[in-house]
Amino acid sequence: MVLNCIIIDDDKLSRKVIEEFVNRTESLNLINSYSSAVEAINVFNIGEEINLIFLDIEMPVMTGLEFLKTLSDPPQIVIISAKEKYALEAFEYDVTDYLLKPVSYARFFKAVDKVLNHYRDSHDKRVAEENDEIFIKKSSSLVRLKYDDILWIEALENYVIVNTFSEKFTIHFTMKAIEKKLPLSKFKRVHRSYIVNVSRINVIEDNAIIVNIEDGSKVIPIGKSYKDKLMNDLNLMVK
Amino acid sequence: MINFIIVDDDRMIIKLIEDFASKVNFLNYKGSYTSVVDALNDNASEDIDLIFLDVELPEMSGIEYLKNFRKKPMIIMISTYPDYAVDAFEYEAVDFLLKPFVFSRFFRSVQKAVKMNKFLEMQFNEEE
Repeated sequence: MVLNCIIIDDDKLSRKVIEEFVNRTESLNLINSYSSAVEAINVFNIGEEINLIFLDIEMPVMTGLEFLKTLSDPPQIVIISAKEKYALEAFEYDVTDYLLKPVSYARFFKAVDKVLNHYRDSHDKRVAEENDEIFIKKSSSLVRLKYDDILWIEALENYVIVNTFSEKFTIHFTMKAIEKKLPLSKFKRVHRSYIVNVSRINVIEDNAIIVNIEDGSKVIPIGKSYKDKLMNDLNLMVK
Repeated sequence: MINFIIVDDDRMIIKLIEDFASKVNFLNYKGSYTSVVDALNDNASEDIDLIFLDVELPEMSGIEYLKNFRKKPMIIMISTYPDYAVDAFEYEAVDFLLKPFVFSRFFRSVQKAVKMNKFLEMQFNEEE
């Protein structure tokens, strides 16, 4: 994911430092750099989508916060200021981060990471609600898993293993909690330790379900207490 | 439902937050402590989503222990001094409340926590 960003700072040296940081960062694309907020306003009219603004506060004519007030649907904002005192007010504006000059690249990078996570949040939340998917956090990145890719889920003590064709994800969750999150129409609990993606069921035998996997098939047992309900549910779907 | 605790030694603020929270039906009060470590040691705090944390407690009241919770909770920082606001960004707090605060300001911070929580809920963390 690459984010389009702009820099607004009246101090030339500060602008140069941030420009260099942005160039060093693969996930960022610098659209332009401005010495005043008034100049920057035009960029929103060109039609280029701006995802992130690195914004100074103390500037002549229009301060960074005054500029923020003029934006009806602001992109993400990372404040870069020499003064701490605006941090309190910054919380009122819902900025993503607030960096104190002089900014180290490490601190800058931490802010960018926060921005990337937030971007996925608002963008993907909508997508997820429509497209049936979940996210698995793997160290510092998010792996998107479509429900359709999940074959079955197996419980082991305090965690569960989500099985797809290519990978197994071990996540810290209870069977009960995961069952609540997954859509009833697609996933069925067939055993104390197993949840199965209904569309992946190949064959249902008397006490077991067979799911196709890459190099053969997986046999999943049907728990006694789950059998009746399962058969009932499946019948409903067949009708 | 968001489970929260208060880490503060100011009885009045604890009462205030309890009162405000009682007006919000998705907030579930789980207790108050004078340090994060105390909260960790209490099994009742097993499943905490949000902490109202007074930054003026000694040694930042153990903010570094937040990662020891089973699921790292969100923080809303509270202070009488606006100077701590910039630290709140460093600690990735959801919001910063300056004492004394009114219900509407409190509610706004809780809404930010809800937004953040929805995102966290959608994530399943891979076991390290």
